Amino acid sequence: MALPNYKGLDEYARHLEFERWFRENAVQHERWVHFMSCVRTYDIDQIHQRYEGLGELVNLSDWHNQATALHYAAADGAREIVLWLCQQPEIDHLVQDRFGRLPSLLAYEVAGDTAIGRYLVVKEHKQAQIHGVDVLALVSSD
Amino acid sequence: MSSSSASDLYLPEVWEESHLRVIRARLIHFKQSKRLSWESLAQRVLLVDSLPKSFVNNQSLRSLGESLRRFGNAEQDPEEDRLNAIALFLHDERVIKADTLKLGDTSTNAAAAFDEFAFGEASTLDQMPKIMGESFRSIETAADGNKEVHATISLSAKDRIIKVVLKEETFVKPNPEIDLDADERARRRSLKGVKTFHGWCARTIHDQAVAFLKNDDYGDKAFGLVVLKQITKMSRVTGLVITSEFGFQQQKSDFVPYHERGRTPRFSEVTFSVLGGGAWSSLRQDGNQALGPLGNQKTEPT
Repeated sequence: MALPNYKGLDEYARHLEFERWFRENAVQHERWVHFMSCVRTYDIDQIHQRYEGLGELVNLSDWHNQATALHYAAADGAREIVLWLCQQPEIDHLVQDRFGRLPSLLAYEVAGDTAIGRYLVVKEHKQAQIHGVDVLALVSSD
Repeated sequence: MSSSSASDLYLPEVWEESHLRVIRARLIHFKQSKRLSWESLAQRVLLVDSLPKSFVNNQSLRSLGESLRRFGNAEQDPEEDRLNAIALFLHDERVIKADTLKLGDTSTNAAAAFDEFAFGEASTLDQMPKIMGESFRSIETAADGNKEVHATISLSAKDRIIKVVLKEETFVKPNPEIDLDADERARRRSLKGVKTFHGWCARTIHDQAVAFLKNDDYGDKAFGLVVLKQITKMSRVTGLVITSEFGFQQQKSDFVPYHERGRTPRFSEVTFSVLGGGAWSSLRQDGNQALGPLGNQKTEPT
């Protein structure tokens, strides 16, 4: 089996942390893996049926690129998935991926979807205002 | 206005779509963050110290504001002078860094160098002249008939390299009988998501080409290899076959020229090539079953 190509100790540490969580929460992990596959295949029906009230799992990111479900959905321009994710009370709009990108940046830059991009920008700024976070600092840090 | 130097800011010679998207996202974030109207934003853009006086004097606040609005909504791209001004402004406000617009090397030098290194000579585009500038499409329909995955390959020649763009669109139709080609509105509404892969052909041989592709969003994980093969009949390209190593939703096999919509021929035999021991070897697989990852096939040399 090929060893993962770690880019620095940070990534190795993230993987170890993820593996630890995976061992301790095998059922949750399995649930999350299936949820992410539904997100990647735009299976909104399955998501509606099985993942209402997903809780904090909705913000779990891939150890490899630190992308959450919202990052993937935004990058693919998957509008229904983005809308569903944004309706979850636990959703964190200000999670950055490995490259420091917010979901809104992916919607603009990768999917080229200005409608979803704008929607996410508004959500991100609202959340930032509540928590006293400077979004511009996050945007310019990538 | 801060006094950071604009001299170190990288500005592209030609503004491409990718540059526009980067600038647009950051401009919208800035506008939202400061709660400015488009005209106030235009006013602040014109206050940048490093802008040429002639440019500032020629701009009307209202027209620049309208230009920014259209740019933000992706309705119309501003002229190059205005784009440079927006970039300088964002850099001045520390929203972009000096190298933010350096989006990697877009030249084909690396592809050409790899080709020459691996194969000893630069490949020629003459091998696949018939598919240049063409788009090919494969449509996979799920068993229930509602879900369709359209994969489109577009090939274009740049210098001595074939650039490849593979777009995978997923549609879920409310009714299986809806023709997505005929009804643009239904097509727009049924679209669930798009994955785009960019890359280039490393080598062409006879009617085949190997393409290296990378997913746009998380490229390092989705980098992959596909082999394209032209299917010709009476010296006309009637199809394209693709075998892939990376995670498409469904395996793509038969591509037809984009304009010949609705026709998806089935080939009884798929020939593909793999790179082995520094040389090309042709392998053949009989039957019409989908191809899995290269190297795991039950194959026999021709």
